[in-house]
Amino acid sequence: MKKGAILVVMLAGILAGSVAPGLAGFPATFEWKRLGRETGLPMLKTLSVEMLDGVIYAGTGKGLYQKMGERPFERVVLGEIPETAILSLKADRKSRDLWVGTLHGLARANRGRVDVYTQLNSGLINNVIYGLDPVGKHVWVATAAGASRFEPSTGRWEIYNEKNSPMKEIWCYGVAGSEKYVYLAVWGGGIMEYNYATGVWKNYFDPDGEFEMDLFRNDGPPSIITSNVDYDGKTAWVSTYFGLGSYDGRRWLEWFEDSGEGMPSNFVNNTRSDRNSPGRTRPQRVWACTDRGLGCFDGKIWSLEIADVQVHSVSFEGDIVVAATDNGVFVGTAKAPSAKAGQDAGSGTEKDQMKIVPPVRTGKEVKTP
Amino acid sequence: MAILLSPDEEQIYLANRDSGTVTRLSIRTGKPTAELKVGHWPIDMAFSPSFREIYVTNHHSSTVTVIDVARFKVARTLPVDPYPWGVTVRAETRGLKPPVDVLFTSHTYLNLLVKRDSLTGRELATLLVGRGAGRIVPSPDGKLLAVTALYSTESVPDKRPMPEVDLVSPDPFVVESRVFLPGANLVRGGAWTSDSRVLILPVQLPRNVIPDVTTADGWGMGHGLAILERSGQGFSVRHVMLADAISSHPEPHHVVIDEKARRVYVASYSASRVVALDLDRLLSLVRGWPAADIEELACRLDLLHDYEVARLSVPANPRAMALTKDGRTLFAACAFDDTVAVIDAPTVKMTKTLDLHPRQPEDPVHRGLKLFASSKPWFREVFACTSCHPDTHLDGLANDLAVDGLGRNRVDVRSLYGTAGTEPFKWTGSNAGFYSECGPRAARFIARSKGFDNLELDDVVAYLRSLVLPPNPYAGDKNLAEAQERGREIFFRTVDTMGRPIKPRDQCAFCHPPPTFTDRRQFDVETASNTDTIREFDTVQLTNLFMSAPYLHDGGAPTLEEVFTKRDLDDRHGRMNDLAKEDLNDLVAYMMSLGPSSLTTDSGAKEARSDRKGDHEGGYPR
Repeated sequence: MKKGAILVVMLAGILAGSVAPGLAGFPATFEWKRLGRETGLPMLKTLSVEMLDGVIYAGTGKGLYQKMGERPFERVVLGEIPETAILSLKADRKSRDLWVGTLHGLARANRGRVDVYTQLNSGLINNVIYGLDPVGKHVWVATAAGASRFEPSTGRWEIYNEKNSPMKEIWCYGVAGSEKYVYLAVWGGGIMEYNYATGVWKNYFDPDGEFEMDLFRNDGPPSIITSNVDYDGKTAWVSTYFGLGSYDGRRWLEWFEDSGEGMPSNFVNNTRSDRNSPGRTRPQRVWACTDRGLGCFDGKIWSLEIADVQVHSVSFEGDIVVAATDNGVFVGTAKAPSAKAGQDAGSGTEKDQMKIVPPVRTGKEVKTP
Repeated sequence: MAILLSPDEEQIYLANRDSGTVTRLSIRTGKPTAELKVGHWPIDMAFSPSFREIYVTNHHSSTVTVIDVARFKVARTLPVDPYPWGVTVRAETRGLKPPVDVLFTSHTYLNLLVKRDSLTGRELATLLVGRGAGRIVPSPDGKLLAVTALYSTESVPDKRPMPEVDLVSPDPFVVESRVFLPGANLVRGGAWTSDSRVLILPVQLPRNVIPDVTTADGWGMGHGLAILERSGQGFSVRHVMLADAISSHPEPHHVVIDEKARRVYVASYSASRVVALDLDRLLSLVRGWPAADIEELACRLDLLHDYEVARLSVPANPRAMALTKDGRTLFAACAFDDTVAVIDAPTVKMTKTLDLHPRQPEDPVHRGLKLFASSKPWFREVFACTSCHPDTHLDGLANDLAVDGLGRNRVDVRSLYGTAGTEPFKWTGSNAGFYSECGPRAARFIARSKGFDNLELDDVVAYLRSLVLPPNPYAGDKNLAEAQERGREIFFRTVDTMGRPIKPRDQCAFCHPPPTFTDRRQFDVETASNTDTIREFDTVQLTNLFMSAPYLHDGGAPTLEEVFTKRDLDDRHGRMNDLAKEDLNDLVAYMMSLGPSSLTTDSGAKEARSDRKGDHEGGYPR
């Protein structure tokens, strides 16, 4: 990063009353407890995490592990899927199905039953599953060779790739949606939006086409190198290797490490909004899993919750937050109830929508990862 | 056939599968008082909580008929997902506005339990349940719905089957507990004890894999009860046999518990028998049996006399029962004699029968049906044709038959629907027709008894020839869906994706030509496994594949995809390796559509179904 640029951004940040750029992240607002090997994890590197009914599911490089209460982590055997990297986890809170994306296929775990879907035994397009999301009757799957949509109640599979959609690349890293829209994070292909009503796909690219800087802030996704996406029913949150963006159906907003709001890093592996976290009583937050820690966004600024570690995934249940990192699993609880806690609690209601202060353009937003 | 007893115990309602009717019988007069046309294959019934309505699942119509009990008229017909089986109705305590009862239906080939608005049939929520979802047995405390499954959840050759019983909380609608029944199959309608702690289910205990294939311990096939009992957070499972060394009570289809009399009544469908068991002795046996030896308990032929109280022969093929509140009268619906056996429960004596219609001379097809379902011609009545071919379909198992040596030539059971015109039979194609298949071969190798005599064989063959394919919900009403159409082009293609001609033998339609999609010859397409001593197998017909998994001669392909991936590595089963994944998906979608065109719909239901958004989208049946 050029010194001039740093000075400009630092000055702007100080003037705006926010954290100094380069010292990304406001102080943590959660208390964190680390779960390492001593708790039964086979390795510290955890790539995915999910909470369901009080159970923590950790996707490690050597298989899926579950932690129930004070008991240590125990391995969850996923049928024919070997002890492999678990890249994505997502719970269907209606059916209590846990969907598991691995390097060797897709699995559904529910009350002792595991169903395995691979490219050899089902219509799944590819076994390398980076992201997934159960959406209504479907389970959307982002794979290394396009996306699949599975309807478990009929066994029907659909494939979306460069042949039948405007997919610029076929490396799909993340998917998230509601019964209206589904967003697909395509590495090198920006964000694709699927409209359930019309069945039509739409692309969102970085309008300036620049990897290293953002010429016009809030004009679209920060980059086409998208690493993941989350959709909370109101807003799509898009992580890229060059910053984080949001899209509410009308406008895009962007946050960068050097733009003064405290983003921990531009290299964002994953992002997730806790708007729909079941049983949440604290205010909504949006989370950014970066190479330098876990960022937490309250609508205006980013706090740095877990520092100096590669964070891959985050999940929530009630007021608990869990994060998958290169240094084990972290479990967080809010340090003190917010004065507003409870006022905007609950999920899915209008009042629950986070009030986002649109970030302002401060000059040349540098987004080198 | 299903049976319901009215709350005042003056009427019996019977669902008649083959005539598509529900009959109301007066217990006092012993005569039918009305008959009502419902859908095709009415298979189960349930009262609404107010007893003002009866809900009937029509298995082949994909509908639920709602009967107004007071007028005994059809109140409405609800379109539902294909192949509904089990049904129960509950009063809704919250959620729906205005409050209406909620209807639960299980769907056999989609493996679903669906919660619905009982007024419209609208789906409220869906859960995946066991493979071949069957009956729904609500617990008396109202907290659980036990959903039985016909088939093993996993289809793994050389492993004992393991169907599941899903214990579902109605509200919130989730699977509360999932109980696997190791070594069982074809789990049917059972009963809970009044404290909702014990669930007794009739099951088949097949001996289809080594080391179970043995003449001792119930050769080839056993039948029994699965006893599920609450234990901590879950349920313990024990299996006991319904057989001793010289006799058997095969194909138990229904269980009724009378706690006052401490009795369990079991309807043995194939033996045409009702058996009374001592509840306390049964529970004492399973509770005292060492946990380490529970597999042995499921094979013991010397224990039945400990818990059997009485056995009673009844008219042909009792399939469902109902007991009066005082426990004095048991009604057994005897499917193929169209009658209800009225049994004095304390003495286990039949007092009379309530006939649905005057007795008529039976035609050969009906006689064949009864022979097919009867265990009488079989060695020690251990099983019947219908044990491997329930309702003439299949049990989802591959069998290691002893005749060619244990461990060799494991063979998958095939459906008998629509087999006329697809001869020869057996996976080797060595039986020229029904007569050789069901005659001396069956007597020698399967029945190990005299088998059918010539006159009986004529009837059985007449029956088998009469069997037509049930509707295929994947086939759609008119045209193929887009994916199926693309799949059809692949199926009938003569050049590969690179434009090179495909040798006739490598074209799908060469061996699988319409309309039955079999050329009735045998080929080696390298599907033989290491344990097979033969390599050429009968070309199987490709109709109604949605209901006939697992696939291939040894049942080694749980899905159609695996036929062309794991079991066709060298591209010998037709030209396949040039296809992209999406092409294979299209081909599978087309193959699933092969069979008789869509659902036979009831009046009103078809219209309602066509209004449902997304129905049959992409050729799939919802």
